[in-house]
Amino acid sequence: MLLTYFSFSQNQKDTVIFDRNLQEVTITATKTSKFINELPIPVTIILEKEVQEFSASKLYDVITKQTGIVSVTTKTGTEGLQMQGLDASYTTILIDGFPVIGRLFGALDLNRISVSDIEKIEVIKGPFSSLYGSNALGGVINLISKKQIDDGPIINTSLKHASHNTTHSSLIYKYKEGSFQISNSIDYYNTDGYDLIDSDVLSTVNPYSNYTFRSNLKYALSDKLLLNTNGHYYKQEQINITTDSSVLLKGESNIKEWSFGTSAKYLMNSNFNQQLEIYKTNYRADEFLNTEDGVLYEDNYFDHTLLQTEMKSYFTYKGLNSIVGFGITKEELFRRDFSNNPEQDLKFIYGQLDATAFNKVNIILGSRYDNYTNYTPVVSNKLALGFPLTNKIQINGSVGTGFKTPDFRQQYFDFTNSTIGYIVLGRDVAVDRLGDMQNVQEIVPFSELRSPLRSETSLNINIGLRYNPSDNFSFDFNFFNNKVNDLIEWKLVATGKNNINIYSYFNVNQVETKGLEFNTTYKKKNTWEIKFGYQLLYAYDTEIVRNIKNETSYFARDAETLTSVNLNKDDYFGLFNRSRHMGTAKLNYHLNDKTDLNAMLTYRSKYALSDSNGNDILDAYDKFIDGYSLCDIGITYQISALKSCQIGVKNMFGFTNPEYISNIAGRLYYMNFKINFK
Amino acid sequence: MQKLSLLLSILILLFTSCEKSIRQNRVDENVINFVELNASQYTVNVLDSIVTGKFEKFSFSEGDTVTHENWDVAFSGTTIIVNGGDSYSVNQPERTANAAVYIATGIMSDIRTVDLTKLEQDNTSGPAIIDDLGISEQGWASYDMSSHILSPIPGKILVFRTHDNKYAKMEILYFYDTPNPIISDGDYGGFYTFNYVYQSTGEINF
Repeated sequence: MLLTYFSFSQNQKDTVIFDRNLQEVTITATKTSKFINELPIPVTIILEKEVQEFSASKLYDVITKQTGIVSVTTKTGTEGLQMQGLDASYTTILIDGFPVIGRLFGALDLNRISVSDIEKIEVIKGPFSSLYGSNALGGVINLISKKQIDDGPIINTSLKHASHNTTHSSLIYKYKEGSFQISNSIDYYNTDGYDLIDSDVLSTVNPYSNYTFRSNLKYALSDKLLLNTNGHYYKQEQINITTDSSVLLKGESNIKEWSFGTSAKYLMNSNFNQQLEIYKTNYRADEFLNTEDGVLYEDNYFDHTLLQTEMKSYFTYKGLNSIVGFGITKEELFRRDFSNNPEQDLKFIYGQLDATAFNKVNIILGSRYDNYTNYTPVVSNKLALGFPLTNKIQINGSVGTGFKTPDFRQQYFDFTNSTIGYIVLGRDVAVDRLGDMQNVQEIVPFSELRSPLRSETSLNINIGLRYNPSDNFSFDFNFFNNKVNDLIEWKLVATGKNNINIYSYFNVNQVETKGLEFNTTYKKKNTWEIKFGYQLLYAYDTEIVRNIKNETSYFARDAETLTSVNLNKDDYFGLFNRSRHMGTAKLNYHLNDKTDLNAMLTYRSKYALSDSNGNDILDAYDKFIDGYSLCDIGITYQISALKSCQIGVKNMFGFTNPEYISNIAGRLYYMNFKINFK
Repeated sequence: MQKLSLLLSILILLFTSCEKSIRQNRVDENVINFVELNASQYTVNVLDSIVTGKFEKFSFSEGDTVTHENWDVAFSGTTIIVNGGDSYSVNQPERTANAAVYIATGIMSDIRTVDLTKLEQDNTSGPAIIDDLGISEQGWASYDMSSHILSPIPGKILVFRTHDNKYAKMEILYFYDTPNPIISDGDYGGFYTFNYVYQSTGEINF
């Protein structure tokens, strides 16, 4: 509701290019409303209809169906999304503009985020550190809650049952009267998990349940002063069963998360307004394992708090929109295996200008300055230009920089794995700890560990073309190129007593991801709609590419002769866990006034998680994980104006790969009932 | 529509323009392949990773395993020792000669001469070829933590001075009784299959 106050400026613009009736609005890119066809940077809007099509419960279900986005399991076992070939730690996820925290090894769990009562999800590709700071290096995903327009109460209920004894139910209550609005929702999810490998005692995913409670209150104190308060509470409980050297261990793994945000917006006049926001959020994970005799074997905790205060000012004048903001952020972490309880303070200031030049060219220019207590300050910039060539073709170009600060783990970790026998030391503690140890054999000169880690930085270029031959036909091409510098990775620094390996973190290399994303939609009004998406991706470690070009030799073992062979430039496949080709195809068929049929296909070509032939790089001689496709089909039936039901099947052909892909469960059936009250 | 077909043809061009270039690796004519030298009578101490057990001795001039003292190289589990230098563990065969070794980087046919300055012998603190079960990847092998398979590192060629001051180069191809072992099926390491070239004249060129 608040944001609709700022969309008026759009109506004054004389650069209307496309049919407004079909238009979607984005707010993530400019922090004010903007029609997406005018936006000169790549953005995908997932509308509520699409969220609901296959009865999605969590962000995971929706986001992994988008072109070029895939949820991958990393070497550390955590799972997160990959966008434009960049890692999960480079994506910022926001709910109504506020950041979600609780990253395990850098990745956010997409199954934690409920999509009940979500109006749309905005996905911006390319760095947006110039507005959102650290972590927004690969992109930003913003979930936007549904807004109420008419006065009165609204109640939405839904109940879903699916394979693996999965239940998902939600209850939303909303009420609006004039300037007062309240919305409460509760969402409950319960599953028995699944097991892809029957021969062992363990399950692939153990049973878990979680609930999410969200509350929002909006109140206009006067025509000029608007208050908005958001709160959420999330709790997840999961059974934890594992083995260690054939000893069966049982325990629990629990997550608690809450957030509270409040903002006051002051509308001084039609051209100027200000907003003050305060946001606090906490994520806590606890887990323990007991032996069969009930003796505590291991326990672990992770407790992260973020407090953010931000002041924003919006200024609008004749098609020129500007925003200036500044604020402070305070973060704290308590975690096992840390040398201390790290804190981090940040002061930031940013500004963005959105203007139209020569009545035609859209310019977005933004800059942000982040000043951290522990690192060198970072300046992030973004420039985007949109040229409408004709009224059907628009060409877009953008250049941006992004950054990600070293995370607390990379600085303060002090971890000893006694079973396999290795030690990982954060950069800040490495020198002292190594000094205390005996029989240490230096592999990397310890002097290199004395300087602090640098932030990872990136440079991105997107060049896009949007072509709308007619109202029901659209093409969207986007060439992207991301260079990430000073990538932080762990590396062997020394060996200790009994040859134990000691690792620490270093700014090591530069990676480059480049490719093309292509999306097309064709729709026949009230009959059917077809969508097709494709991403071509090349992702490299630039040092390896340079070495191969300079004839520094890399070797592989030929699978037939078993002898070593030299690798040439074309044999280097690129980074691990990246597929060269990814595609989506979707069909919505409107059978009659009551029935809609949806079918969806997602494809991912071959990739590999690790090197299999001892040269540490992924090459043509390595073993790859075969490509795969997943097919979903769903039917939505509108029983009456306020009642509907959905049935469907996900992963219809029952694809699984127990050995390498743990996050694909096999064929799943679901049934969902929705009843609304007004 | 013309614009559309233009765009499509650009796309098609993009996806078909990546052709493989032809590999050129020189083939060494004198390579002898030795299949399965059984050095599997070994145990690994869990505490200090030290390998103990029977050594299987090999002579390049005889092209076979030997039991007499004129051996060049001996294997036990992941450990490779030479008939030169000092013993560093109790149950090693007696060193009677002046053999030495180093690990060269390259493919077999590209190792054309012996770099005499790099030759090393075993000493009281350890063998010339680092033996840490492949964990640090400083030796001839690497260890995969997830599959628990030890594999020879590609591009590592062992260059030897033999007990009688001749030279030989060796590439270890695999370490199990099958090229594609599955540890959970009981495949046990310690079976060396390797290629070697022996220069019987005493020249340092291969």
